[in-house]
Amino acid sequence: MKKIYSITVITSLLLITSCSKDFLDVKPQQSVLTEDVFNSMATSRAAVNGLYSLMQSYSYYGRDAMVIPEVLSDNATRSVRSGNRYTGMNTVTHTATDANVSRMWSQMYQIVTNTNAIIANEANIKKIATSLEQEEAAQLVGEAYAVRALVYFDLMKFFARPLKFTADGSHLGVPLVIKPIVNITEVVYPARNTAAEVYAQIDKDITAAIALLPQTGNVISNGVVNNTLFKIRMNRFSTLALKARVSVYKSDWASAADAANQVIASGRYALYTFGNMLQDFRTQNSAESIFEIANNTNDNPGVDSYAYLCSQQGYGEMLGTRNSMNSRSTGTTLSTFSGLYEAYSATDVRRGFVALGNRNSLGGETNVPIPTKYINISTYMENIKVLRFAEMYLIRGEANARLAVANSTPSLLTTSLTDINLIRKSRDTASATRPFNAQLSGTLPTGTISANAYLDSIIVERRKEFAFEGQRLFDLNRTQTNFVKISSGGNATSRLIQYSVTTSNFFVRTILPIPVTQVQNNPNMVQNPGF
Amino acid sequence: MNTDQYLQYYREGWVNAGNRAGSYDSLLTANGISRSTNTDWFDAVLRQGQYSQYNLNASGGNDKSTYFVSGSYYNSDAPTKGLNYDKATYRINISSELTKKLSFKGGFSGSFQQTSNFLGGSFFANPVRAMYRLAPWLPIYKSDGKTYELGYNNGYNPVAVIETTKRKAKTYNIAANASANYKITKGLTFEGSYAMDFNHAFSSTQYDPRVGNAIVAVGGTIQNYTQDITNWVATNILRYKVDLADDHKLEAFAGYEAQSRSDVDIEIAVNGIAPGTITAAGGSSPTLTTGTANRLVSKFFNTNYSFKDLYFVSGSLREDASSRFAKNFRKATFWSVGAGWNISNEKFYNVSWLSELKLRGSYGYTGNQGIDNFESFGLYGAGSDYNLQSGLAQNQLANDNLTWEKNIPLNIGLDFSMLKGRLSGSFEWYTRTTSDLLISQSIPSVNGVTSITVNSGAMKNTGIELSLSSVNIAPKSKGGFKWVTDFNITTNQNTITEIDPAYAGNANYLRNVGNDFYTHYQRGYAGVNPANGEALWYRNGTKDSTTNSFTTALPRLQYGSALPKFYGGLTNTFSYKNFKFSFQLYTFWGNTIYDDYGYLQKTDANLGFSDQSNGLSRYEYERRWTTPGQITDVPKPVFLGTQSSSGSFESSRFLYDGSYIRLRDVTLSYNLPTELLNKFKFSNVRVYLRGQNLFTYVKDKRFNTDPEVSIDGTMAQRPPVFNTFLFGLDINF
Repeated sequence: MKKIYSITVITSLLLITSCSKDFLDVKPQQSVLTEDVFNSMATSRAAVNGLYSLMQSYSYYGRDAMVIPEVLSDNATRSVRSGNRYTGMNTVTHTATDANVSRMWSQMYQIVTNTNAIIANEANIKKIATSLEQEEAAQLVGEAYAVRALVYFDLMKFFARPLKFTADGSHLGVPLVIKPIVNITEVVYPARNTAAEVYAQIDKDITAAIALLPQTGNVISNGVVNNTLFKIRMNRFSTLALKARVSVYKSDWASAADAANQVIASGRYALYTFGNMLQDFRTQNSAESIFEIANNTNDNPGVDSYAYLCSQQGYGEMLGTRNSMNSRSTGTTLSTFSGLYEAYSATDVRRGFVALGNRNSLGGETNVPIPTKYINISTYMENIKVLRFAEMYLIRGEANARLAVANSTPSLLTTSLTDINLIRKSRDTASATRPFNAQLSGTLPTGTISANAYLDSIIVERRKEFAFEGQRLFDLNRTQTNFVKISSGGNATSRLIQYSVTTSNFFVRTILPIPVTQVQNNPNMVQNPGF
Repeated sequence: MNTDQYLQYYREGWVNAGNRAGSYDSLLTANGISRSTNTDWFDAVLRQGQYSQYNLNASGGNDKSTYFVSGSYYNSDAPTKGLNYDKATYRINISSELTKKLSFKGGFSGSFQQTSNFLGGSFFANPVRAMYRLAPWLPIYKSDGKTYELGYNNGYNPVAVIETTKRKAKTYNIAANASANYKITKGLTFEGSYAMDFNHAFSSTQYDPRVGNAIVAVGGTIQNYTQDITNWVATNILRYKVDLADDHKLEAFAGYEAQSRSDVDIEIAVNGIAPGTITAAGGSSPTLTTGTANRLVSKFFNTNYSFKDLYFVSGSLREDASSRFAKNFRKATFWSVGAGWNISNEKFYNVSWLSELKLRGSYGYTGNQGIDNFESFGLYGAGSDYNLQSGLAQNQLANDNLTWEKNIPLNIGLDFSMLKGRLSGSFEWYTRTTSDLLISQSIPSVNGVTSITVNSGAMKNTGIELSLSSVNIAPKSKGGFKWVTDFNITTNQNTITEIDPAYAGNANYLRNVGNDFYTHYQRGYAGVNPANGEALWYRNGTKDSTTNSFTTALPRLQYGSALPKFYGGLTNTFSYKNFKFSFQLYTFWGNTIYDDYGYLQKTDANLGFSDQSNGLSRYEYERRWTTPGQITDVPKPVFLGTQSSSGSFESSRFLYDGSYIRLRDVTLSYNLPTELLNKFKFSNVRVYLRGQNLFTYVKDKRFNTDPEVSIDGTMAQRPPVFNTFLFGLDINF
C-alpha cells in the first residue's frame, strides 16, 4: 500500500508542467505602467502629488535651489571647516561638470515632463472624473500648468540672462519641452529656445493655470475643499504671486503691481509681527506663507536638507558674511565688500536669522553670522518657503517706483513708499521713526533721497528680507548690480579669495553652466559664457 | 605618516602660501591641533583575525537506495574590528529505485548565516574609510581617556562606531528538490523534476544615539531589513540513449522548463530609540516594502554522438522566453555545436612520447538577459509621496524593442599528455563576439530621464588559456616523495567593435570602437613645474604643451586599461607519505588602477586641516617638491591653496600600474593513516594549516594599498585583503 502511494506521488512529478499564456506577463509591484496612470482619479491625483515630491528633493527646493543663489552672491560663504559641498561655487571656479548643477537641471526637467503628461491628459482626467470631481479635475490640470510655469521660470533664472538683456529677448533661454515623452521613439534633442519664447510660454501657462484653478483660491482634494493644503499646493493666489515675481524679472512693472495687488487684496495672508517673526517663520503654514514645500518627519531630505546644511549640529558649513571676513594678514589691497550682517541695523528683527555665533567644529570660525532660517534637524517639520507675503509688498513697491520713474508720476512714488515703509516698520522699530522719503527730481530736502537711490535701497531691503531664501543672486542679476563675492573668510589669518562682478563680466559665471553631459549628448545645445 | 610629519608638511604648505612661518604655531592652537596626539588609525580599526572550519560527510546505501549527508560550520572574526561571520550548512540527498522502471531522487539542503559588520563605501560611518583618511592628530578619546572625542568626521569616531553600532544580519536558506525517472523502453527515459528554494534574510542595525551627528540629531536609529526570495524550477526531459552499430553511440534529450523567481523586501527605520532597547518599537517609523519577480520558459534539445573513442560530435538547440522583455521580443533561439577528435586513439598514431592528444572545438549562439525585471516598460514609480499622501512620478521610458543580448563563442582546444604522463595540459584559444549589448544609452535630461536601456553595440573577447601540469619528481614507491607543478595562464583581449556615441557609460572610461571596455579616461597630469612646484596638466593630446590651470587643461586623455594583459597561477605541491605541502603564486599583470578617492585624499594641503583628507603616503611625502629645479611628480603643499587640488581635480595623477604577484596560499596538510581511520570507522580525516596572502609584490612603488580590486579597476575604499592563518579539519565517514 505504501509503495503504491509513493509511486503515485512520484508519478505526479512526471506530469507535464504546461504554462498559461499569461505566465510571462509579470506586472511591476511598486510602479504603475505609464499607460495606466491617467485611467483613474486616484493615480491622477498621485501624479500631481509626485510633482511636489520632486520639488522637495535636495537637488531642487530641498536645498540646492536655496543655497546656490546665496553662495554665488555676497550673502554667504563656506566655513573653513567644511566637507566637499559647493567648493567650486564658493570660489566661483565651478565648472560645467559640477554635480549640483547637473542634478538640479535633471530634476527640473523631470518635473517639466511630468507636468507635460498631466496637461496632455486633461481630456482623459475630466472624462474619468465624476460630476462632483469635475472642479478637482480642472484643478489638477491647473496645478500642472502652474508648476510648469514655476519650473521654467527657475530654469530661466538659473541658466539664462534676464529677459531685457536684449531688447527683443532674442538671446538664449532654455529648451522648451512641452509635449509628454513616454516611449524611446519620442526622445528629443532640442536646441535652446530664445528667452522671449520661454517667457511667452511661462505667461501662457500662468494664464491657463488661473483659468483652471478654483476661483476661491481653495485647494480641493478627494472631492472636498481641504484647508490644510492651502499653502502647500499651487492655488490661484500662489499662481498670482508667481506671476508678480515673473513680471518683475521681465521688467513688466504694470503686471507685477497688478498681480501683487490681487494677492494682497485676497485677505488670506498677513505679515509676521515684529516680536514673533523668528518663531513664526519656522512654523509650518505660517501667516506669510503663500507657497511652501511640505516636509514631514518621515518625508524629508534628511542629512541632505537645507536645515542640516546650516545647523551647527549638522554640517553647519554655510555661513553668512560680514565685513570683517574681508581681510587678509598679508595686507594687499582688497575690493570693498558689503557683508550681509552689516546690512541690518541693530534693532532689525531679521538680524536674528543671521545672529553671530561660533562654528561648531575644531578650529572653526568664531563670531560669524550663522544662518538659522531653517534649523529643525530632529523632526524636520519645516516647510521650504518658495513664495512669501512680504515679497508682494516689496514687488508692488518696486513696480510702482519704477513706473513712477519711467512715467514721471509722483503719485505712484508715494504709493510705493507706503508699501516699502510698511515692511521696514514691521521689521525694525528704528525704521518706524525714520521712514523713507523719496523724490523724483529737483533739489532734495534733508531726509529725502533721490528716486534712484530709493530703488537701490529697495534692493537692499530685499537682501535683508530674503537672506538665505534663494533670491539674492537673481536680484543682483536682474538689476546688473556690481558685487564682490568672498570665500573662506574665516579668521583673519586664513586665505581670502575675492571674485568681483562688474559690467565687464556680468553673467559670466553668475548664471550656471549647462551641465557638460547635456552639451555632449545633444549636438544642438549651446553652453553659457565662461564655461 | 605620523602627526609630526604631517604637521611639518603643512607648515611647509603654510609658508608656501605666503604666510609667516612664525604664525604657524598659533594656527595650530586656533585649529585645536595638538602635536602630542598621534593616533594610529590602522591600529585602532584592525586586529588579529581568526577563523575555523569544520566539515562532515557521510554516504552509503545498497543497490536499491543510496543516501548522502553532509554538514559544515565556518566561523571567523575578520581582521577588521567588529566584523564576524558564521555559517552552518547541511545537505541530505537520497535516491531510490521504487520499481524496475521508476526511480526517485530527492533532497533537502539548508544553510544559516550570521554576520555582524558595518557600513561600507563612502559613508562617514565606515571605519575602513576612516582608516585611510582621518588625520593622526585627531584623538580617539578626550583627555580622560574614556569619553569618545566626537568633534570631527561629522561625529563618527571610528572606534566609537565599531564599539557602539550593533549590526547583525541572519540569512536562512532552505532548498528542496525532487525528481522522478521512468524507463519507457530500452534507452528511452522520461524525467520530471521540481526544485524550490526559499531564502529569508533579516538584518538589524542599531546606531547608538551618542555617535554621529546625524544620529544624535534624531536620537538614535534602528534599521531593520527583511528580504524573502522564492525560486522554483519545473523541468520535463525525455532522454534517449542507444548504441547504434558496434562503436556508434548516440544520446539525445529534449525538454521543457519553466522558472520563476519572486522577491519581497521590507525596510523599516525607526528614530528615537528608547535607551536599552534593541527592537524597533515606538519612535517614528517609515516603512518601505518592495517586490519584484521574473519568469523564464525554455524548450531545449540536445544530442551527442560518438564513434569508438575517436570522434565526438554534439549539438544543442533551445528557445528561451523571458518576462523581462516586451511581448514581441521575449523569445530567442539559441544553438551550439561541438566536436572532438581523440587523435592519439587513431590507428595511424604512433608518437610514443605524446601519449594523449585530443583536439576539440565548439561554436554557438547564446543569449543574455542581464537587466532588471521591468526595464523594457514605461513606468511611473511610487515613493514620490507628498504631505503624507501617495505620489507617482515618471521614471522610465518604454523600449518595446528591447531583447536578448547575443553571444557567439568559438573555442578551439588541444589536450595533451606526454612523457608517460609526466607532463600534461591543455591549450585553448577562444573568441567570443557579443552583439546587441544591453547597455544604457544617455539621452538629454530634458526628456525627464537621463538614460534608457537599449540593445546597441558589439564587442569581442579573444584570448588563450594554457594549463600545464608537470610531475617533476615521481614517487619511486607508494608514499614516496613527489613534486608536482601546476601552471596556468590566461590572456584576454577585449575590443569594442561597435558602440553608439550616446552610450551612457561611466565618464571615467573611454568606450570607443577599438578600445576595451575599461580604458581609463582622465585629465592628463603632467607632473610638477621644476621652477615653482606647481602641478601641471596637458593642454593637448600630443602632450607637448602644459598649463598650471586645471580648468583650462584639455578635458581628458586616454590611458591604460583596467583589464590585465594576463593573469595566472603557479602551484607547487610536495607530498611524502601522509604529508602534503603546497604553495601558490598568483599574478595579475598589466592593468591600470584608478584611485577614485585620490582627488579627495591627496590634496597638497589645499583643504587646510580638514579631518578627512589625509591620504598622503610616505613615498609621496618624500618626493614632494621643495627646491627650485627639483624634478618630481608630487606638487608642493600650499595651505588652503587652489592651484593643485581644492578637492575636485581628478586626473591621471591617481592612476597606478596595478600589476602584482602574490603568495596566495601556503598549505601544509596531514592525512591520518588508514590504521587509525579503520579504528574509528572514518573513511578519511585530514588536518591542515593554511596561510593566505602572506606576501605581495606590487610593481608600482607609489601604490600603497591593496592591488586586488574589482574588474572596473577602481579602489573605492574597500577593506584590503588580509594575511590570514587557518587551521582546518576534514572528516569523512
